Amino acid sequence: MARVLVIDDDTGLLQMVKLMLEREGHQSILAEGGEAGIRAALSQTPDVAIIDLMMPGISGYDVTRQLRGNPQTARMPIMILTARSQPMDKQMALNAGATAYMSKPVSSRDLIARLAEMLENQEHRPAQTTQAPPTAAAPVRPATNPTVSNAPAPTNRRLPIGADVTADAVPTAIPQGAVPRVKLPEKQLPVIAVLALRGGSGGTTLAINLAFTIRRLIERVCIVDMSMVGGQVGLYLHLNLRGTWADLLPLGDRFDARDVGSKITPHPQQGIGVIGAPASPPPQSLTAEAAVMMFTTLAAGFQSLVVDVSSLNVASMAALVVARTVVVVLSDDVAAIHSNSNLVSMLTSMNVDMKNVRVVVNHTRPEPGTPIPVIAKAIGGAVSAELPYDINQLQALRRGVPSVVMVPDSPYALALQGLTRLL
Amino acid sequence: MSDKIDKVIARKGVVAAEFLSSSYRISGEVVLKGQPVVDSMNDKMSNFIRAENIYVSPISDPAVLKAHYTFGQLRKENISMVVINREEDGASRHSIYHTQPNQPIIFSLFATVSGFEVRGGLKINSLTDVDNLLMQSVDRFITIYRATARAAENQAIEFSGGAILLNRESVNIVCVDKAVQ
Repeated sequence: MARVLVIDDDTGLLQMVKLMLEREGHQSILAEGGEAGIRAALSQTPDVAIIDLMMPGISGYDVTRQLRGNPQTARMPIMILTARSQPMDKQMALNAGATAYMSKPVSSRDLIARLAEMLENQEHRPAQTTQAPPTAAAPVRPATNPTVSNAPAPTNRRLPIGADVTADAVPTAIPQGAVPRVKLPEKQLPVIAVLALRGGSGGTTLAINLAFTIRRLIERVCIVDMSMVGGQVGLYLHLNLRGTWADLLPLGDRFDARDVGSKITPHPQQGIGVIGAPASPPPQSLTAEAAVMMFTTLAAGFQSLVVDVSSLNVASMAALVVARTVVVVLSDDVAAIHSNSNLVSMLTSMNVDMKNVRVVVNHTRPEPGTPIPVIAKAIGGAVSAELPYDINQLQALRRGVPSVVMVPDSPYALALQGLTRLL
Repeated sequence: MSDKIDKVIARKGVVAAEFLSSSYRISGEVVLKGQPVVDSMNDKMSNFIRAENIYVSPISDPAVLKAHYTFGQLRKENISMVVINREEDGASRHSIYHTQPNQPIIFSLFATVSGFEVRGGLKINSLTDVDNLLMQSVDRFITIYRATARAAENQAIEFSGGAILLNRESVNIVCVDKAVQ
């Protein structure tokens, strides 16, 4: 049973929601209007709030902002329930700090299911935050401070906006026999490998947006999706892939520029090429030699190669070894940090030069996550950059246009420009 | 059993609608009074339509709530589009081109209206009907199903719904094609 605060100016609707919640065993707290809602939230400490957007006086946006700004309610899940159901309304609500968004009319079944989902996610968060007593000294947006080794991992968590769709198994160490022997090319390759050890960290999203940010500075950039199967780069950019790296498998390590060139899918934006991942699983990955040869061949035609490493195999490990820079991306949730706790030893075991590694924390949710110092301590290394939550990712995915192209002056785009300078 | 408790949370007898003019987005609720929204919009006995719980936003910044009013009257001829969430709320009872809400979309439509590009579907049985509906119908508003209206100069501004009622007198270009099922 949960204590649910419902804020709406429509008394009829308040009563309807109350009946429905009580039938499911929840306790409802009704507030007619924004001001009454804020008072009720502070005095009765509900577990979750359902807020209408369009209310006279204080709008639902303002109520959400005020609740997020108060330490006592900053972590309370908030669902916006409104008749304003356009994408820009949803973006603005999420930007204000809402956890979920539903459009009226909504069925009671859908509302209850969504509520249950929010409560379950809340339960799997570190416990300290939801029932924290108010303190004058508490920060406006308190960050969680979990003990990484003891914190429960979130389960059944919805994929955040901007997250990759596939989640590969999380490695903690690479057996020495599985590490490929890579002969480094004579000339440093312009490879930037983007490594996400856990699905949902936004690795593919970062790789694509990074490539388009780099393209602003140089003429030709190639994105290489090294996923073993079902890579997301082509899907993200709405491209019909001309070829994938798996098409090179029958050629062993005897292929030339023409073979590689025929596998490149040009993006409509001039100067961007894509080598995708196969749709169905190939019998094996490329060998380390073949992978390095592919990168060497591509480097002859492209000034920068951004390699998306969302699964570890011989070829993708070779990419990490030859890369000029390895960008490790992790989200700010406890599970992602836990997955990266062996990061240094794992990369060292793969013969990756740690001088080339940059750790980037990607905020994949609007609400505040684990503080950067805690993350740095947990992974045993410095965090080089922090990417803000990007409200434009959903729209970017729908349109097949990278967020940094769609909204070039967004905080996310500006942070990526900073990261690009760092690289 | 679960279907029986699957009540819809909304005000009874009203439909939430977004009225778009050349400069404003007006969100409000239309009291149905026994007839669908599209029939109220096409009711020639009144040049205005009454809406309740009105919120006004500039079309250039449509997520911002600028003002709220308990009720208001909107001049129909100055409304270029009405966006409705549910497909079934866009169906007419009186139009001679009336179709069942569950009928499939037969024709896809593209139109430009007051700086917006509108895409959606028509539930009309034949090309002759389509021509009549677009060119000769006495109704000012026609229903475009599963429609999206995107601002031509700012593609981030997008309205979509189960139905968009399109003011024929605001249309610049309208193109129709057989829908791909």
